[in-house]
Amino acid sequence: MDILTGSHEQSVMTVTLSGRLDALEAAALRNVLDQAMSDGLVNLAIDLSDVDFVDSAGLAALVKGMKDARTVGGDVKLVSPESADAMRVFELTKFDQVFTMVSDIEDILRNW
Amino acid sequence: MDITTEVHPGKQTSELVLHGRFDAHEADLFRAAVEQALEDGHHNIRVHLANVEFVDSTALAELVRGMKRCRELRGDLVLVSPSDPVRVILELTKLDAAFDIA
Amino acid sequence: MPHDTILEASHLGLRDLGQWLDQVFEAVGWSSSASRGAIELAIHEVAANVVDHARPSDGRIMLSATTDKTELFVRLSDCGNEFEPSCVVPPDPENPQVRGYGLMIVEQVATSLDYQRIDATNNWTMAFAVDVASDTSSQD
Repeated sequence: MDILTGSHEQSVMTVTLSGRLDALEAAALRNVLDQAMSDGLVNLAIDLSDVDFVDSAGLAALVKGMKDARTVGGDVKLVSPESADAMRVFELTKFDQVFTMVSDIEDILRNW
Repeated sequence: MDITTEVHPGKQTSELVLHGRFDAHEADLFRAAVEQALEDGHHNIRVHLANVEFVDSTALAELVRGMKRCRELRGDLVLVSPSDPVRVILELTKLDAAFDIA
Repeated sequence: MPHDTILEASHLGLRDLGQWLDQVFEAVGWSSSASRGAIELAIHEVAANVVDHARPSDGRIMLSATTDKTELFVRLSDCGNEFEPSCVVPPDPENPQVRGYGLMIVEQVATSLDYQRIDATNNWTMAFAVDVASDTSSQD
């Protein structure tokens, strides 16, 4: 019998945002996520609890990050925004069912 | 918008990909691979069983032993994609309920 | 017509069991039976117990197989230590243990399993119902 061995680390990178995640800010987020991926950090927990507004451009940056991560066996998981204005775009697009969205960052870190 | 990032180191996971016949003759080999992973601090071990064409109760015993060792260290030993012979023996011994199977 | 073989009583020797069983199945036209894998495993487990516990001094395990319609009868004998049924502890599913699953597997797969000690030899007889109606077409 042959046994091949390999190992990998299941690190999780948390990204904490505050303020507005709109078209102007989406590019900055995309850079952070792209950099994490090239550093081999494919498990990303994005904390949106302190974000007061998210629009479709902001959502697009999150979705791209999630798809890139899932392609290499990782994922992007979210801490839900407390603000209704921020949460609305997820509900209207039903992306609240595509992303894992929890209320506490510890839930993500503990159970990744 | 402010963006702050932090990396949380996670558990190291060892992947053991088995290929061939896993019988009593191979027990020591497998046990050594598990012990090596645990020595390296990898308390999560994923054992890939898609290419195991024969497995007997001695091999099964090694999987149980490895699983217990990992759980003692708060990790786990997960059986990944068990081949049909592996599934059969897990069902016959009712150990399909004891293991985490991916 | 019985099919006989002798296996070397070692874990490496047990690897010849599959080939012998293939010959038996082919001779009767059972080549595509779905139960073949489980049957090989069951016979293997009895033989493995001979290697681990009976430890025959001549290093041999005698196997003989006969068939009748859809049943396979296998007799396995060796001249090693006597089998002690009281030493077998049935596994508890709530508490997965490391050893002891061999006989449990045989009892699940075989329709009957008998042991007799005759003239300083151990004799195991097993009967199996063979699934001959199936067409395991995983052939490409």
